[in-house]
Amino acid sequence: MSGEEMKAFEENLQTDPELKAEFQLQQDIVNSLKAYRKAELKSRLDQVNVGSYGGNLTGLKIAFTTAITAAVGLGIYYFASQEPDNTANKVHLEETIDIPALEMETLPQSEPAEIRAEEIVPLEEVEVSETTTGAHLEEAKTETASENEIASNAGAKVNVITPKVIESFEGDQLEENSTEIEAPKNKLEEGVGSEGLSTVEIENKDDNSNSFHYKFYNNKFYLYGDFKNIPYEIIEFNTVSGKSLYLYYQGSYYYLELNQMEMTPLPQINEEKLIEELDSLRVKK
Amino acid sequence: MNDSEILARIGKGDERALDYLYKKYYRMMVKLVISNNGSEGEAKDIYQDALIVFWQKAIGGKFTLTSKISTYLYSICLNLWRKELDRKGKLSNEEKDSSQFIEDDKEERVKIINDCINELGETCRKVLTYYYFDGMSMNEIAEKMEFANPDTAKTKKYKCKQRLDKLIKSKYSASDFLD
Repeated sequence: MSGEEMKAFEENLQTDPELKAEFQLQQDIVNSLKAYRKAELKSRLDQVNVGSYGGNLTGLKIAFTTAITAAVGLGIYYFASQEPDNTANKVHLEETIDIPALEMETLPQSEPAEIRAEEIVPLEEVEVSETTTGAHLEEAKTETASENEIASNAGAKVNVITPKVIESFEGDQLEENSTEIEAPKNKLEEGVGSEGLSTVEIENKDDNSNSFHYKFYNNKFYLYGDFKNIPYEIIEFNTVSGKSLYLYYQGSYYYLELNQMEMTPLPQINEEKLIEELDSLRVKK
Repeated sequence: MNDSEILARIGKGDERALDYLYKKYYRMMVKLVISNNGSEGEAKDIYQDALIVFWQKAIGGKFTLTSKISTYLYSICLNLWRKELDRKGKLSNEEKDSSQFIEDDKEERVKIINDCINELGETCRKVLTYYYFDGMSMNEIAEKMEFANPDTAKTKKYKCKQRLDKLIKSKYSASDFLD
């Protein structure tokens, strides 16, 4: 339509209601056809697979979170596996303990034959030693429950004091002019209150570097120092609570730990009460 | 496909080009609306409307685009969403009620017309929609619909329109529309 035709048409619309109604109907029809086509195209686009905008992000988030969690878990597992394994060291230590030969002092060649575990050794075997030049005595005494107190005191820590050298040794068991030191069998057999013989072996070691030390290995005490020239006494208590051993040397008492596998200085007993008890036991013999 | 190929296909009425564009720039256009207080549903609707606007302009092959298609679509989406936000902001409860009243009356009329459109055959629907919505010429309609010539297309269009008018008027008296 031209401009004039359009203007005339609009004037007729205002004056003719039927024309206006028809015009509006046609407008609605055309609009509906357009809407129908638009809906058709939108329906077609709805069928296109574009995925979900939020779903992709959720999937990415889930994947990202899973990756991070897996990385953290792997990191923890890696660092945990890098921790030092103490059990191996423990096993090594145990093995070290089980192989005491590595720590032991050099033993005479005759030693291997004499190593026995928990074997009761007669006194005769214990006291007889060809290399022993000093006199030594052993007393095995079996005490009653009254000795428990002494046994308990034996576990007390004592100061280690180097023994004094005495010029003479007074002992009634010692035979004069004897070149070999042998414990009087008779005296040992009739030991005071004795109900049995000692089960502990004693061996002396000349070792200037470890003077006045001891250790207990394989049911045998090894005394390091000048024990061959100077006599000493071993006092053994067998009670219900266990066995306790003391060394009497040059007027002092020393506690002998049964489980002392490593060489250690002889611990001197300073408790007066314990010393009195030990003195009384020595006198009773 | 590059932009020139897409335009060429749309000019010939190839709806597959529209599918291609829709999928290609979906995330970009949806992100625009979502980042401006819109939901994905609203974004989807806006983007589809924008594509249809582009389709209407590009079909016929006479559309000259000086920028990229994505840029043009982006600007359409932006304008449509702004209008939608303005409409939401300006729409008061009273206006909603009054407009709802008006819409209900017109909606009834539109529903009748849509029912009649659906009663038409597929060929008539296509011819009429191609003509009134896509703006195709009789020559393009004849080519697309495989008519013998443009005159056949023109005759077909006339007859289909007449039939639609008759259907609508048969369901309602003239007095209903005058009211």
